[in-house]
Amino acid sequence: MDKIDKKIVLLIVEDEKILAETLEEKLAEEGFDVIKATDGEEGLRLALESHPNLILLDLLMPKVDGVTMLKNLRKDKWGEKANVIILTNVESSDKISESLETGFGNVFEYMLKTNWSLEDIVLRIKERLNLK
Amino acid sequence: MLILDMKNNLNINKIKENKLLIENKKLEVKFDSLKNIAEKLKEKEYFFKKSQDAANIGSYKFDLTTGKWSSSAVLDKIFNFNKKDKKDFKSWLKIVHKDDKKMMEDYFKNEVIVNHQPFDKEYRISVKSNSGIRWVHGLGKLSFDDKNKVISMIGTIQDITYRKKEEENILRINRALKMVSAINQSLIHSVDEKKLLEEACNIIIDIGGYALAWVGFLKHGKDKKILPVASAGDKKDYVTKENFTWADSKKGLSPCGISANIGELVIVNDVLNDPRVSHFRKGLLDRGFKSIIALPLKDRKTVFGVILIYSKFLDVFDKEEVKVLSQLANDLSFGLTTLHTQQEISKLKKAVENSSEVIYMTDKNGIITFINRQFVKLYGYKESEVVGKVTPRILKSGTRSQTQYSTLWKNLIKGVVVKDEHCNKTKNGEYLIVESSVNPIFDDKNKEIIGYLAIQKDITERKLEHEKIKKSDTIIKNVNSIIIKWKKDGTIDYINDYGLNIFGYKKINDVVGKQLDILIPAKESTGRDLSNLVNNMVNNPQKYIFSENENIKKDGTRFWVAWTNRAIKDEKGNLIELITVGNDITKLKNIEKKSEISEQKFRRLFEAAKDSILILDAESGEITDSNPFIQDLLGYSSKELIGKKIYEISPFRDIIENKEKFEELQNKGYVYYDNLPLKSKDGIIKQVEFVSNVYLVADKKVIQCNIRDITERIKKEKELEVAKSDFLSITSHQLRTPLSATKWVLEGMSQDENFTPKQHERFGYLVESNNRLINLVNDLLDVTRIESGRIFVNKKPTDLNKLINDLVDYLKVLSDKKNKVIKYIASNKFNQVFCDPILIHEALQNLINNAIIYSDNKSNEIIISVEGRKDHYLVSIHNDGFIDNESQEKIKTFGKFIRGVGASRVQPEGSGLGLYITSKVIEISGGTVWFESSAEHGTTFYFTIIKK
Repeated sequence: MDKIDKKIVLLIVEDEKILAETLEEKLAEEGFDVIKATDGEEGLRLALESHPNLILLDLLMPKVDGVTMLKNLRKDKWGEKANVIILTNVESSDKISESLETGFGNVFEYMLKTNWSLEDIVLRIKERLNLK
Repeated sequence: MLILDMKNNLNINKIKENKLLIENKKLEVKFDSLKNIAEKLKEKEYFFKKSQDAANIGSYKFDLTTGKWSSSAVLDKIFNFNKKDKKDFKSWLKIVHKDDKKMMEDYFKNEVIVNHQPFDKEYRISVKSNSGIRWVHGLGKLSFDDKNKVISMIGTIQDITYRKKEEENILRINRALKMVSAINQSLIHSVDEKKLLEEACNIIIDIGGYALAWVGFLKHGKDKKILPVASAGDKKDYVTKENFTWADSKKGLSPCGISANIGELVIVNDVLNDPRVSHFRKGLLDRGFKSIIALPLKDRKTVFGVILIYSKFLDVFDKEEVKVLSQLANDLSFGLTTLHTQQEISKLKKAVENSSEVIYMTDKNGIITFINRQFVKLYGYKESEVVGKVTPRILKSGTRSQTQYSTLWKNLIKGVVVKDEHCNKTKNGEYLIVESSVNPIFDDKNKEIIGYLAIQKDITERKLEHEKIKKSDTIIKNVNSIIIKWKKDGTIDYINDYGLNIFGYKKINDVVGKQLDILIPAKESTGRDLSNLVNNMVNNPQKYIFSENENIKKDGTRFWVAWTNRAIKDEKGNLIELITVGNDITKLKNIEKKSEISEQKFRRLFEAAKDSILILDAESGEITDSNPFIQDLLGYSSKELIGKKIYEISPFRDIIENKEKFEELQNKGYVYYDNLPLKSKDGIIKQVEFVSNVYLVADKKVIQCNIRDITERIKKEKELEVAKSDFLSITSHQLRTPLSATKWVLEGMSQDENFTPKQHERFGYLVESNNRLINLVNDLLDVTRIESGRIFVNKKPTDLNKLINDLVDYLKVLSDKKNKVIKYIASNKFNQVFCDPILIHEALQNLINNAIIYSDNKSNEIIISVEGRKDHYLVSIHNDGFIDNESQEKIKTFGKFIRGVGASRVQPEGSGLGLYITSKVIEISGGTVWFESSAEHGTTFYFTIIKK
């Protein structure tokens, strides 16, 4: 896989340490600049501070959950159109529809962690950022 | 003895009447003598006047030219004037009583000065020292000048106070005497106590000139009330407003209370200061009462009432007045007592006349002097046919021996009361058996017999009854029923052999002569108290014509008997004895009891049921019963419901809005509503489950409606839904987190070239196992979602071509591994398909996945096709694999954990859930799923997507 030549910032919002680290390792390897947050509150702060090119967002997290963070993010002028991929293990049509409502259509994507290998995730991110 | 008393009373009455007349005569005499006194007084006064002339007549001279007058010392004394006091017209007018002032001024100015009349006037003066009012008689003679103008008046002024008072007294006493006389008149004529007293009160007011009069009777209850029975006077409201008592209390310390207690008259001549009216003062003063007299009304020595008289003047009740009023009270007492006695006598007369027993009187020779109505009725003789005749001769039937009569007479002459039984003959010649009691009547001195009183009772029927019973005894003895005859005091008179036997006794005397108690337990096993049964039957035989009770045998065994009871009465209708016939119904009772218990059980169930239950008459729809819970549910009480037609009650209008709908229910026999909103009486919507059944009860069709409140249940269910949903999302998250961690870490490790090939091989196994676990979790979560009904169909226009192409792309990795090519053929042209993309994706992915995994080597193609049909799309997925026949049968069911034999061989780790999930997802979307498989043609799975 080709390494990325320009600076692309990714924000991982994930409370599960091992998942966050594995993901960070892989994405860094691919040449992304990775920043991490362990809950929705920190995630929102970092997102609004650093304006990352894409946010990988978990849903079930302490303090502020993913859905709430997404809602707050969409209130921001920049955050309104920020790229978000929901990367979670929660499977519930209620939760999905709840996220969808706040997702503003195409800027949002829902991925089940167990169904995606790291490799596929990288591919998907690149697709989303038109890096292919 | 009755008649004797009566006679005595009649005598007393006569005597009393005479006494009253004498009293009245006396009064008249008194009245006359008082008149004499009055005459004498006038005469006396004349002398008095004469004698006072010298001493107590003042003289004056009034000079009208100066306006001054001079007076003698006597006049100064009368007027209480000093020598220094100014003596003119003004100072004279000043001492004239205020009520007479105007009159006197007018009189003097007009009559005397203008009309030249000599002064002659009696008037009142108010003099300082001589407290009170005094009467004077002023005389004056006028002198004129030549122009006929009055220049002076010379005259006398005499103090006539004493005469005036005496005159008033006489008037007053006259009034009182007239009053007593009037009351005595009405006493003689009165027949009604109340009327008499009202009249007396009115006379006291109208003639006596008093302010208020009332009569009260003493009550002997706890609070010893004095009950007003008559009153008169303007302020008679006082009598109803005040509570009078003669109890030993503050309120009892009143003129009437004291008088009632001591039996003497009580006088209060100054209401303002007398302590005996301290508790009544305000009420008395408000009405202007200044003096009171209370007089007791007595019957011999007993006080039975009081008469109260109120006056608006002070010191009214002086000696003379009191004397008259006492007389009045005595006369009234006597009148009332007489009246009472008369009433008693008339009652006795009536009682004798109307007695249901024959009563007649004879003189000492046995000649009839009086007969009552019953005599006429029983013997058929009129009064004129009997009175004057000798008794035995008329009534003798000839069936009794002559000696019976002579013994009777012998005893009667001796003064003995003879009780006997006779057989007498009526006018019609009928024979009667009578029980007779003949009583001698003695004279007032209780020495000589003056006559006889006979009382007879017709006992013919009773006698005949006895005879009948005796005759039918043989029948009774052999009857298979218990027959008992018993007296009204409960003594057993007779019992038949059957009865004796059934009660377990051997000798007649073990039972006869004993009380019924030996056959009846005090308490039934049902708990009913029987201790009063005998009394109740005697007192109310009509109610006990048929009765049922538990009885007790000699050995204590209890058994049930149904009784028919007949009361035997004498000719007066008095119950003498009862004949009861009974049959053992123990067996019947046991059956009844059982059904009663089951009825009770049912009733308890019915009433305790949490379901509201309505029982309807199936024919009319009328509610015949309802349990209490319906009130909790809908707010209607049983009372409000029973008798109404179900479709008339508003909550049910939704179900059974009219008679036709009801008939539908009637015919269907069974109606069930899962979740129905019913409006309660106060407008609250309750979610209910409504079930109604039609069934037969004793050949009558009834409809039972069970209504269950499921509001709570629905709420719980909703809560459970939320809980389930949370559970699902949390569980899925918790299960998948470690799986995804393993997955990603292993992925990183397997790309790390620092590990040995052996290690890499093992990583491969781990990845494989982890993926299996992931799939299993996914499948299980899918199943859970399906089974908890948490899959919702969300149809929308979907680009099915793109969906399938994407999926084929996605599964390329897998198909490449198996060296298969997935071909997609869209046979018809279609753009947007209306379906739920997620569900269709799920189904397709499962089926394509299977097609890849369970393929054979005959072909390298997997073919997907979509055909647009009339009302659906047919989707098929074909591969070269074959499902053996046995497995086909199993798979056709699309059940859980079902796996074909071949499948287990090819993919031992499969969960057996994929096809189940697929079939469910398709079914939910409204489509169907099936497959065809042959060794030759391979396997094709089909499913349909419904258009619209």
